[in-house]
Amino acid sequence: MKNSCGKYSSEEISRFVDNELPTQTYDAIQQHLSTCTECSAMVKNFSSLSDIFSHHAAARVAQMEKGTIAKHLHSTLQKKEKSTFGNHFEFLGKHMVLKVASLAIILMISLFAFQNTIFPPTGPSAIVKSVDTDFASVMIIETQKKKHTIIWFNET
Amino acid sequence: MLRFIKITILTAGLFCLAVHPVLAKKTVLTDIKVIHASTGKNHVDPGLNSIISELESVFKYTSYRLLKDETLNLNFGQKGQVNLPGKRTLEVVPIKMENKRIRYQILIRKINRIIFKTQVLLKNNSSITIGGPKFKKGTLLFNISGSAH
Amino acid sequence: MSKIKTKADKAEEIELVERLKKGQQWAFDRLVSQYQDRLLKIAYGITFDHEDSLEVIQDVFVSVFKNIHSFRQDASLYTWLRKITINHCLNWKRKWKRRFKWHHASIESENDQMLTNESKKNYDPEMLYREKQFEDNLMKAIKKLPEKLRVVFVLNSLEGLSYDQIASTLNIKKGTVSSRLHSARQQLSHVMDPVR
Repeated sequence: MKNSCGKYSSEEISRFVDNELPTQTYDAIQQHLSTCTECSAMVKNFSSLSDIFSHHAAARVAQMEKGTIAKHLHSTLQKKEKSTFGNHFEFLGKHMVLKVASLAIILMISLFAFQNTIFPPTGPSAIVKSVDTDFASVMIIETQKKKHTIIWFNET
Repeated sequence: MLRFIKITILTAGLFCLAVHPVLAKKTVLTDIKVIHASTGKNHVDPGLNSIISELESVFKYTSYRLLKDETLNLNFGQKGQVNLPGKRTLEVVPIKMENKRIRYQILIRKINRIIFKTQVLLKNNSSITIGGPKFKKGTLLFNISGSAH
Repeated sequence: MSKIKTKADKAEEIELVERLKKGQQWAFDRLVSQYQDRLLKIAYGITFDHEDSLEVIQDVFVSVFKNIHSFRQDASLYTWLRKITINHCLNWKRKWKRRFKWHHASIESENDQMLTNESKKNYDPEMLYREKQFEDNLMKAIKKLPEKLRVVFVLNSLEGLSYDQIASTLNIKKGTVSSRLHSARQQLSHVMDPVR
């Protein structure tokens, strides 16, 4: 949608809608709106896009069955409780041989885990935590065979 | 018996703490391969044998030429830089170990302007490929591998 | 949409975080009931899918549970939750992208083609201005926005964030926020007025 008025660019109008202009420019545009139907229509248009989108998203969220969220979190909390050390000590208290063996395993695992030799991480060769580029097109691909991670960005 | 367990666990804990700094990785060997991929005459540089099958499984290029292969020995937090074709530079910084992976910051500049920036968790002794910039009727691919010692 | 936090709100939040750090279930229940709707709205705005949004938010709360100890309270709890939600949504979308065979050249041109066809198909002013039809068309257009534009549009429209706040949430420049938002609006305006 082009702004055929020509006095203000559509980006300025966009920033006007968001109240992100210096006061002077903001006031000037506000004054201009009373005489320019083109710019007024654009302001109305830009504002209504957000309003309709927000209304639509809220309506969809209201329809969602949200009980699963708390349920899922509860099961995670319970799993965590079950796997606390306390339970393992109870178990160890009854079996002398197991006690020693378990402690030996704890020692070995601690040692090897630091060396990163016994449990290499699984998953893709690289986990992408963030990508920042001025270009619109960025893709992250993982090859099927070795799960090699490839980031592709279009530099044009 | 409870006392015995407590003492043993404590010893194990202290031992782990004591060996941790010794075993902690200090430097990261970072290898950067700059590849020119194009649809020219079939060609694969021998230096690309380790990754070529993965690249070919995704890309449709027929020619892969190794323009540069630099190995940098970096400390955590130390910046390594490689000049790329087309007034671009590639900067890599191994930040820290995280869940047995190396957190890298990777940045590409074109005449001082940052055109691409990413943070990845790279599996130790593994690599990632970043591609996209156009160069001489083809595309540049950067294969970055890291090995923490 | 953003409101100024009172001292009492802040103290309440600090206490909630303390209890979350202790792993108390009721604290998590409160966290979920207090924030799930707002976070779901963001997730829906980015994923455009009921099931995906619910799963993303489930994961967000589990992630909060796992990482609450690293929350330093430099920013508000909600700001932190919002950031986690956005990251989860974007990773979620990337996961989906990975499942498809990738052809970088064709994907973009196909999308462009689809968008053009869509605009042509919907060139019927009477229909466009029927409210429901218009809303559907607008949602389709938002769905087709490039991810970068859509995330900025979501934070502006659904969260009412300022350009500075969006910039710091997404680690981009304020000018980039302005231009992305403007591009998004321009692309969406074609639905409003496809003649121009």
